[in-house]
Amino acid sequence: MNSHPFPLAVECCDASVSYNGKPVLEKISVGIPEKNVTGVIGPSGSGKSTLLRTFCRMNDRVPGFWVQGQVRVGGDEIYADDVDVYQLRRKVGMVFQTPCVFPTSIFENAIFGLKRLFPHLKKEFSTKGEQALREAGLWEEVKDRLHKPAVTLSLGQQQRLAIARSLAIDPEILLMDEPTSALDPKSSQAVEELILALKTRHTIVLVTHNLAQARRVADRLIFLREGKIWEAGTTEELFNSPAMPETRAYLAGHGDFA
Amino acid sequence: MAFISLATVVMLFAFLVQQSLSVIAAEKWNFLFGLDWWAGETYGALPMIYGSLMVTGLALILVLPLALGGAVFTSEYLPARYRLWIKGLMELFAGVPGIIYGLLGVALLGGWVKNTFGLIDGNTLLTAALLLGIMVLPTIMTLAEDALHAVPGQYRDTAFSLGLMKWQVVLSAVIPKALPGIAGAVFLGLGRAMGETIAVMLVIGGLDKIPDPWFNVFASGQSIPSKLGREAAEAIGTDLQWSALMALGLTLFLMVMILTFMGNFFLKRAQ
Amino acid sequence: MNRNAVIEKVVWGFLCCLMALSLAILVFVLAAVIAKGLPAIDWEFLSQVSRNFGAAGGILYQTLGTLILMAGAVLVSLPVALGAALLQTEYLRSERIKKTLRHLIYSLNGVPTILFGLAGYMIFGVYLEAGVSWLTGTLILAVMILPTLQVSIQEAIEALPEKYRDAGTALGLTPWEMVRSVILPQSIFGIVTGVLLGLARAAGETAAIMFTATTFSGILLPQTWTDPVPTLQTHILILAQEALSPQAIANAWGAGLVLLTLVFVLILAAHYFRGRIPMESER
Repeated sequence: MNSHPFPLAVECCDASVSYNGKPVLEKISVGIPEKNVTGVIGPSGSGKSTLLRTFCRMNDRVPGFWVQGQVRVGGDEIYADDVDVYQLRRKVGMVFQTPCVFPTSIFENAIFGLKRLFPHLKKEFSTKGEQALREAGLWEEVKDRLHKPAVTLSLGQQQRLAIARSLAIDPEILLMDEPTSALDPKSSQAVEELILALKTRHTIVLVTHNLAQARRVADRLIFLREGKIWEAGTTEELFNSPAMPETRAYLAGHGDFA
Repeated sequence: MAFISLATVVMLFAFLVQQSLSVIAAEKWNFLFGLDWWAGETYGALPMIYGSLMVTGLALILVLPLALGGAVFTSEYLPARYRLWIKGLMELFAGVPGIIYGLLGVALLGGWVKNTFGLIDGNTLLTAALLLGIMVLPTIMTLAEDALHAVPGQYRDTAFSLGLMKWQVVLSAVIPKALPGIAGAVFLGLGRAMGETIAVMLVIGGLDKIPDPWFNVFASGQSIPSKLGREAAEAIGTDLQWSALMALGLTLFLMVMILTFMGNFFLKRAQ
Repeated sequence: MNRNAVIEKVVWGFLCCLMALSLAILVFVLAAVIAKGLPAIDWEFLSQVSRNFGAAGGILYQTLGTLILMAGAVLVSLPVALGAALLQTEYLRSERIKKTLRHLIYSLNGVPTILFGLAGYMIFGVYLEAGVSWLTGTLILAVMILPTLQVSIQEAIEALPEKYRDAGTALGLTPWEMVRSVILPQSIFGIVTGVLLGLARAAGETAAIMFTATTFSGILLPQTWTDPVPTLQTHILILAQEALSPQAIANAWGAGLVLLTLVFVLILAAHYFRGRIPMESER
């Protein structure tokens, strides 16, 4: 299972996560290859979001949060003592379930992180902002109203703006936690197309409930259940010949092929 | 019966208007802009309006860093269980009666201001402002904290996920989102400060004059509520003096209502 | 990386200092009242009437006077607040009307209390001929604390899970039976909270009663409807203005500590009862 033909962007060895002593993830060992879309699927409460948040240490702020084992990003252990967690999060971007825009203009949102992390690059803000918006496929839609409040955008556009905001600081890895579950089908499709376009340059980890989406977008899948990885492999393998009966049952029973 | 609150506000307003008609007829604009108030002769309210604005504004300047710093610290940095303690404490302190602050001002703060700044009289605009600042500190802090605490966690998550440091997250993601609520808190606190009678009355000096120069906060002054508190008892039964006090009351009512409505407006927008 | 950690620490330290300073100031207020007030308080102080215009003797009548005004205000205000809250939550279902009314209630809470004193004196004291009396003071305070009571009661009633109302409706209860047997018993903690906060607000109020309910020489308990009443608040006010007499100031601190204790106990009790209101999230 650990013999990937690709270099690994993220790698877990026996990683366990608990909140206040309550285990959420147990002995996770998995590798996520570079420049690929890796889907994380599984029933609600199986620890999908926690796994994702573990990759960029988003749960550091949660009291009682505890990680054991190894989690490596780009070959470096991220839970070591001397890790700069802020540098890590610049390298590993994250997009959340509900689009979250800040109460400012569209353009200011796009360069929100850039402006604060690299204030000395002030001259490049406008080109980098445009580049990020283009990469997120939003430029044509917003180029004439860059200085309008971001809340005037539709939810789907807001989500792509959130992705642009992450892209602006040029992360290697992009974590997406059910990025389309709050969107209408058309906006979802735009985000899915965007994900496929992004994988040429970025490693993407996508948590999704929507199995049809996982099938369309993901190259590899991780099936998580009750805090454990039951099966991981290419999308083909999992859908066509799942090794575990639980995987088979989940893929059959929860077939949300909308 | 549900409209009792509305009826009370409207009745109070109508009452104040009706009672102040005769002084408005007698003084016209001189009431608002006149500099002298001699009972029985002339009624100019400007020194009192000035005093109210001055002590309220000064109190705001003094209290804002403390209240907002405390609010941000409580909401963003303090562990949850300490937070509840602070909130409870602030609620308790917000209930301290004005007369207690008045006593404190008379017995301690006035003397302290007098000695610290080498004044002849410790009853000054600054003393009143200091007292008001302390008085509204818990109210502003707890309301501003509510506004910060109400910012959804996803705004913090999103900013953190970009690699921002904690102080950047607070400054650029949380505070802007909470700004309407914070503004509401400040306006409501200001309204409360402007309407406070007893504490101010005891330490402001009771001098119906605009100091020279006007920004001399070490001079004695007079605010509208303290003027009302000082003179109402003796003016009862008189004609024009009572009417003049009612017109002062009307002015105060309008100023405080503006602040309160602004406060409510911002708090509503924050939701 | 080191720089980050330094900035983080500096910001934390700065905010922590502001918080600590705020707390220090407020705790100083409390400590001053306790330190200055405690020496003045003994059994005689609490149980005797004041002599020599308050410079000697105790505060028995003043304490009773404050309690009379508080209790009177709540007795008058509670039925009105309860009725208004029920009307608003049970009969006025429109969100917009409710919002406007709530807005107004908060605004009423913002009205400077001295204006209640002035208008209340003219209305209750002069037109209704109650004069400078405990009755006038009670009525003024009743109007003043109305919003406090109504908001607390209303919030408790609105927090009632819908299932209780559904169950009541399914049983065919009339609106009045519903209120009596379902709504009121379930929102009792909200009512208690409102009453306690209203009492605290009334106890802390001076401006509205200083020339409407008390006269400066009135140190006896009222015998008729239209007698003035001494109160702790106005007692402190009078003594505080005699800043040159050490004994008067000492007694003012004593009375201040008694008043502050009364208010704090009421607020703490309100806090306790509010914690027992069943909230929507516990459905």
